[in-house]
Amino acid sequence: MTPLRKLRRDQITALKNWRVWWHLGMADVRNRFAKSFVGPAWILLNLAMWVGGMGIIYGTLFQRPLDTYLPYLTIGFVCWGFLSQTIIDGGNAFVFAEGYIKQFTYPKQIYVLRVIVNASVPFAIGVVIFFIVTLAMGQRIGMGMLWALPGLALVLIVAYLHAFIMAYASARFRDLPHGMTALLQVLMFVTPIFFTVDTLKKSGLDFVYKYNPLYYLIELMRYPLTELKPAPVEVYVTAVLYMLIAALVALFIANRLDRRIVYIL
Amino acid sequence: MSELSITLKDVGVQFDIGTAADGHTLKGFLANLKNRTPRQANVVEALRGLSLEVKAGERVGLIGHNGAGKSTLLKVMAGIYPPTSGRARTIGRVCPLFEFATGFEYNRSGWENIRIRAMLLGMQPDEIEAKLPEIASFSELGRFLDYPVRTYSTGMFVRLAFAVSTSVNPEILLLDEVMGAGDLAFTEKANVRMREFMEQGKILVFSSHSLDLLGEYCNRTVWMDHGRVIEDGPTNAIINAYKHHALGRPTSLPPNKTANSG
Repeated sequence: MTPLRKLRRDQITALKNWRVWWHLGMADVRNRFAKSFVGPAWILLNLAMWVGGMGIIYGTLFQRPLDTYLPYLTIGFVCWGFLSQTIIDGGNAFVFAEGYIKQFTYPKQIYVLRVIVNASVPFAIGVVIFFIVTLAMGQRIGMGMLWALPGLALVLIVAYLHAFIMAYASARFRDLPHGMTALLQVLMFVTPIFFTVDTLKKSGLDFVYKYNPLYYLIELMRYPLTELKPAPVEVYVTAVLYMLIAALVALFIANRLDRRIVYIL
Repeated sequence: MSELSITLKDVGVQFDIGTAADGHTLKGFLANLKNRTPRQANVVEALRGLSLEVKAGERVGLIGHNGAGKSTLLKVMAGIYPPTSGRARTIGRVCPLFEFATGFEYNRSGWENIRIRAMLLGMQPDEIEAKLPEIASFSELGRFLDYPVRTYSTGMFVRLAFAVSTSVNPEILLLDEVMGAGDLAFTEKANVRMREFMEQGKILVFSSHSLDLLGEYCNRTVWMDHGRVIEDGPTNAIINAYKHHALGRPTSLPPNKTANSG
């Protein structure tokens, strides 16, 4: 069987056995807050503290009215959290599952999907908080927000591809998760999350968002949710192109490494 | 569905330990600059051109020194190690039962670990919930199932893993040197279950240093050394040849002595 055919078969088997990765991912969430008094409510508290603290300071700093700035900041930060968590946890997906990979015959992809499930819980809670903030700030809620759904689908696929690439590549290059953690910390302050694209344009720093794929991925959901209409066409075009490139990279890397993973772990 | 079988054709497995060794850290890299010793390809050949065919109903024992390739062979049969050369094909629902140091969630309870293992072995959640009491009672772990498994002893891991693995009703059971770790009472229980399994005409491949157990379970035994098959035939004949070789003693040892050749 050629590597690509095996990959396709494995991917389908992994998706069919959704109960396995769903269970593993949800158990990870519970485990993260095991023995903690506050429990998963920490996700909520954490976000509330971020948005409350950062929102008031940066809103004042960038001279933005809080009623529009807080929802903007919340959804941007939530999307960022999901994208960065799936990248970083993806890097550990195979390394942490070594014991399973060497003992059980399930396709390795279930450990990547487990990462997505794990990160989806704070993501979903974050989206709920966005709506609460939006209502609290007296902003409009409308049907135009449904445009965020195709955006969500794209974000989920890209996040899976990110985690997939990171899982394979990090098994071989163990420096990668460390490097990505460092890089993402910088990118968080460079990507338009705390400030808007207009602020960048005014300072002549357009390149900061124009060549940043993460900006387009965030915009896929943020724009419809804050503006109640579909994001500009170039956002969708760039995101789809980026997804295709990521898919090609994922195929290339898995084609080369899939058979070797169990040996290099 | 086709008949259960395991077919290995000219299978080779190479471990590239060069990527894992210290030459690949910054520290090792700097040290190498100083020494300027040429780095060799660090390859371990775990299996070399091994061919083997196991048919439905066969119960195959594996013997050989530590490092002979028994565990690697079992992992190739399970589909966990893709052969680096040659071809391997296994038809049937495989249930592997390997090393016990890994594959557990240490901070979670025995119950949760049963669920996870059963899922990874292909059981559906409702099926698992239905079988939980039976698995739990077979393991005899009692209240320990409520404790995180990091508190378990090796024997307790074996009880848990064996109870789960044999409850999934496998067609091909691959066991790697596991029966030795349980205590006497459990070994007796495990024996009963093994016999039940064997009566169903399924495939068993079993690696052990206990010649007693091999004699009891296996109608065929494969003697391995350095990743190759040395001899393959009826268990009694192979055990005798192996004893002769490993102990350097005549083959007329009392049949119930266990040889631990290390």
